[in-house]
Amino acid sequence: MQLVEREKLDKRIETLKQCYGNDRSALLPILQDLQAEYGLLTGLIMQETAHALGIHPVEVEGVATFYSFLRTDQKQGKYVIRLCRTISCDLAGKARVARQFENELGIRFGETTKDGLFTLEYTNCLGMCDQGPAVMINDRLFAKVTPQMVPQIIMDCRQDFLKTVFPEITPSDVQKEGPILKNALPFGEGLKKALTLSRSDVIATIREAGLKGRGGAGFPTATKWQLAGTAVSDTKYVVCNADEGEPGTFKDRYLLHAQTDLLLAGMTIAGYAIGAQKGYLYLRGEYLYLRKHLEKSIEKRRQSGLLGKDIQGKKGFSFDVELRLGAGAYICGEETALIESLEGQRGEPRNRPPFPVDTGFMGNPTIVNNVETFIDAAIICAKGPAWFAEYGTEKSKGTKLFSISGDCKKPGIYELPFGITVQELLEEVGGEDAKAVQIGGASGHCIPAPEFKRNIAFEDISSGGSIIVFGKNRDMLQVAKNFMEFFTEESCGQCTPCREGNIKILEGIELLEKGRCSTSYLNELIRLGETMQLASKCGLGQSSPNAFLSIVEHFKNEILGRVPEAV
Amino acid sequence: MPMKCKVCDDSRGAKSTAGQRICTPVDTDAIGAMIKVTIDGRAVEVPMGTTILDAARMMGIRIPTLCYHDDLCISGVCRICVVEVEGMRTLQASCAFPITSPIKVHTHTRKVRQARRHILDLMLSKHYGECYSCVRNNNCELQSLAEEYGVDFYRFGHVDKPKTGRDNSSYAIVRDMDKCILCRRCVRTCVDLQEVGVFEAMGKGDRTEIGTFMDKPMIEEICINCGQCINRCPTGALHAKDPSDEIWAAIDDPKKHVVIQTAPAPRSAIGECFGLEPGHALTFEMNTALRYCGFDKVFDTNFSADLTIIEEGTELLLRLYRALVNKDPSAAVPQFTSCSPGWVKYIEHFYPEMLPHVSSAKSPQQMFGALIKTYYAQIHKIDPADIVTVALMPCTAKKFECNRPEMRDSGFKDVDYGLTTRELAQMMKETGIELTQMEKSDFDDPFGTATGSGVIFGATGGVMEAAIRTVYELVTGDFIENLFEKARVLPVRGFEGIRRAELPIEKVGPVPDLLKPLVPNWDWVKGVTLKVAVAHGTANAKKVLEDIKAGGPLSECHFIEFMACPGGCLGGGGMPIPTSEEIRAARARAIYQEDESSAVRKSHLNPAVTALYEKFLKEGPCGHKSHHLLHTEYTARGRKVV
Amino acid sequence: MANILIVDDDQDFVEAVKSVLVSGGHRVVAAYSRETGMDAVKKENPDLMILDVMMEQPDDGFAMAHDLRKAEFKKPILMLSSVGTISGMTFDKDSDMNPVDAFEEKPIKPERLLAKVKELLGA
Repeated sequence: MQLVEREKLDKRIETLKQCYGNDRSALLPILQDLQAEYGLLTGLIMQETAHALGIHPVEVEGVATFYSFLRTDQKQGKYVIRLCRTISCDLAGKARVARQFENELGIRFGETTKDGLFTLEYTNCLGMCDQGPAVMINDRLFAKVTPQMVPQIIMDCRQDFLKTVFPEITPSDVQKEGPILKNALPFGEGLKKALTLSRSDVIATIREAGLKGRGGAGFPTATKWQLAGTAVSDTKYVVCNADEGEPGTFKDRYLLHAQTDLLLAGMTIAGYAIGAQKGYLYLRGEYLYLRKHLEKSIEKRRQSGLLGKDIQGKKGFSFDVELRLGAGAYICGEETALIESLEGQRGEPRNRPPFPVDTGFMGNPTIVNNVETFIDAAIICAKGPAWFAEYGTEKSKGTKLFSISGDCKKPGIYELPFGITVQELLEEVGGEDAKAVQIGGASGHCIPAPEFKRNIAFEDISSGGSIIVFGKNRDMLQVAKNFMEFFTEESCGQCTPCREGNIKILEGIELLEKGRCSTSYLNELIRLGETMQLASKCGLGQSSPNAFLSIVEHFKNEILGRVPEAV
Repeated sequence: MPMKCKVCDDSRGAKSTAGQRICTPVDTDAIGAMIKVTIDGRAVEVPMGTTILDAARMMGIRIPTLCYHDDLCISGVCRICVVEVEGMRTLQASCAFPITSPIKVHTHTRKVRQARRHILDLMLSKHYGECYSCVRNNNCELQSLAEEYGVDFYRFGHVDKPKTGRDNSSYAIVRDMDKCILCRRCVRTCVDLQEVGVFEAMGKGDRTEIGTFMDKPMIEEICINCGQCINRCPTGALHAKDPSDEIWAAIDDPKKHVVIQTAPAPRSAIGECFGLEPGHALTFEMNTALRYCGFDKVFDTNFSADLTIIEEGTELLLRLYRALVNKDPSAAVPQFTSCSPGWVKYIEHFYPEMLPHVSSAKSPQQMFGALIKTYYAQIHKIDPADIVTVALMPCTAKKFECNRPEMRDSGFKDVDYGLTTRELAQMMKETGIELTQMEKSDFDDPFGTATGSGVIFGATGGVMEAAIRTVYELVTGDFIENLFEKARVLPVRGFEGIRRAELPIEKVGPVPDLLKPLVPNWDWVKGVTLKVAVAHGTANAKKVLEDIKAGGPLSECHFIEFMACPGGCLGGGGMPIPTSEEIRAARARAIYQEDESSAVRKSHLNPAVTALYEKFLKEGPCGHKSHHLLHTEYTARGRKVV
Repeated sequence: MANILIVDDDQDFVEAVKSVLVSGGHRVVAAYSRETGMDAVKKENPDLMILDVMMEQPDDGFAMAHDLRKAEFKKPILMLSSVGTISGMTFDKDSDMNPVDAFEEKPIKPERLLAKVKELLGA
């Protein structure tokens, strides 16, 4: 019996290898497919996959246990209900929805119902921060879930209505469009203009526009492209970082759906500029429902001669895009971790130097850019650098998409020029009476009201576009706790300061909650936060204590000496 | 200039997290080859690509390390080695920072000291630090750092109860994950250095831990027991299974006759446990000390190493005869050595289809065990049931080997206990012995003092060198010294991962008496160029086996020596901690010195071996009795755990 | 005897190159960034330029080569950089992407440097 199982499995793995490749970079997609088919990655599955790819079974298990969407312990139910527990959904009342799911199903989070129908678990940011609390069931999204909706959702699942009752893709709320979103470029136009330029002129155009990475770090895009483009290599890669995992950001989710063609055009332009033949679109596992749409768009471009061989009649320029799915790991938004993940490794950031542009996918020159960066690049090539540089500030040119959530009247997506003050932004979104604003997500900074005149730009407050507004009555300690819970779980776990430091800060917050933390210990934790900022291995580890530190700095009076209510 | 990690080279493709590439230019007089780096105000020129850590070490500046290890790929995860580089916002891990431009570095600013202390405190908050009851007490890198940084309280708390407990299931390796600080040296050792793959980091975030496949106990894992992970573990999270209590009990039992055989490598290193610099052999002091401990007899494993050369060398000649004269494809040439139990288990798991190549000769430890409970027992009229044989070995895999069910040809367990160098040092300390002060004494008869060929078994290439000395002389009737000065077969020495040598047999002599029953003459060897190779570390073994499978140049070899451990036995998993290439080289020097100072340096000239064949193994090498006692067979284990 | 401008942010390296080239009978002027380098080109009107790649930005040298060509600088440019050594990638001159006349990896032997300079000046 077991022999037959093994043979069947080995055959299946062989088929999957033909789909995804023979080397380790095929590991993640193979595991994802097997997980979907078997509901669980058993020892046998991991072992046979390892041997098929020429690696050790323990390495496969290391990968499988790293990603939260892969399971090695317990078979998942037919319906996996994932409730977002990140800050914005938390602010929107996630706790009551959670309680009701537990009540209706009779299980706790992390468990599966006896009939094998439902698994209930928490997930981190689903990118629905403006429409929370959000729930994802298999590949279907539910926005603004209330406790009252829970029994109906469960009933629909039982009757297999999921596919018919709910829309395939929940639309985003775009509150304000700017020049980028209003680009009005017809299909295929983005690429056409770029291909009339020489490769170096494409890069010069991007340089002149002053485009900086939209993921938040603000590295000059042209520099990346120049280095990868000048490197002599037959194989180069373009990677789109669509692993939008920063709590409070959802603009890429929108762009991936609404601006797919410009995104693919941007990737193709990058491929042309650096001399790459292949692009990977690394889509976070939480956006699984976008897969079909993206694959369709890619196929459409192939049919239209915008992807594939001799694109737009340009002899010798071939470029194609492959979709790769993440599997629930925030850290894979860090570009070296993303490359590791693409290579079938645990998503652990690499040492730098060498820098990511040096040492890319499978050791080849590779550029990794954010979704928005590619779209901006495509529009810049079509409309010219001057058009773009008209907006923004000297050091932060152009406009930026912001994902606004939290305590404000009009949450959603805004396109605003760089340099806007926090105050102006709050007026725009209807959050004037906020007491603080979290800019840049969990890894960003909490800006208190007295600092609202500061500018949002690379030279002042840099961000990937996540803005979470905290109203007058928000308990800032709970906010800090939510962030630290996030990092405790989402740290990749390799370096000591980030892995252990976040645990200690979270424990410290629990002491503060109980009103049992001395100022001297709090000061020690602040110094520990400084150590984490200085000594962690990657940028995300370095920024993990930011939120805690700024909340403690600005709201010390609010968090010290609490007397907890009797339970 | 392509840069490569010194450990995990191209064979594994892009194993990138660990595979930090470090380069150093060859030409130091080219402009730009040397970069000026200023560390703590002192300037020095270093080759471009030198890490800050190496540069600091050159200048005698100490930077603490934990996840860094000389033998392993750079990982940069513990962060204890952070330093401040002027102009950089964050601190940099000095082990992972190649110097490519003139930089100014500070190794002990406030930020650096605070960060190191915090990192240490964070590790201690998770580490079950019961130092008194820890095998690594006084030789623990974490403990030393705590002392160095003046840790006087647990800033972030402390674990006072074990959570996971110990995994004692393996014959050789005990895992105690309560002491793990997640430096991942064991992962890099097992996956990159040894290519075995027992350990990997599992989970992420606060649930990160080092795990085995399916969390199975060590005994069920595909582990070769090489113990390299133990040698590199900075704490007591991995240690060897210690049989000293049982051995003491046997010594204390008046009915038991307790004998110990001592392998060549431990004597070259045991001094390190008593404060000596690496490279001082204490062979004869150790003999006295062992008797002082209460062992009834002290034998030299080199005797059975010499015997191995005769048996394995004969087997080789017989294989070659079958291959060259009978054109028998089943002769399975090249022949592989079988002395290293880690290697044997490796091939049983990973290349079972190639087991016919492995010599059927038992390892010296097991040959000796079988002879002690038969030959020795007969001579001294001792009931073998009352004999307890202990083997002092540099090796943890020997603990598994002596427990193999097939190793009972004497009718008893041939070797009762495998004892490592570290464990013996501990036993000696317990008796108050100051080893370095002991007077010297010789080994006991009837096995006597062995030859220099036996001694060099302790170093990679040693078995091959011993075999070449003997086979060459037996076949040609000539002296090896005419080919290699002072019988130093230099091509097979050194630490290069894979080494090859060729030995043309231009003339042949008469067949010696010992081999007359087996071969009519040597004419068929005349004109043959004997091709040999040496590999140490199982990652290198894998390369050799893959090359043979692909019909590469190594498939033309006649004889290949494999050692599971980097450096051979002197780098064994039971040897004193720490280990590094420098330390292993020092031990090798001690071993080759002992070889050169030996009166007899060739196995076939060992009088005790000759006597054995005259009195006991009368049918000669590979004869019926020797087959029964000195040869074995192997198990095709495969690599499936489930 | 030629007028050579070297643009490189590594002062030690600049000094070493200077002494080699001066001993080869050349006059050498140095600038340490892309910006000051562009000014120096105007002021010095060099016969040959030696250009580093990674300065303030990791691609400054490439960008500067483009700027120079756009500004009709017709004299030879020798790109001398360790960017390949550091990054593990291979770089070379390229009529489109890297419009220089020669690309050499650091470290470089003095003889080779002199020969390369001579070759470029002769061309």
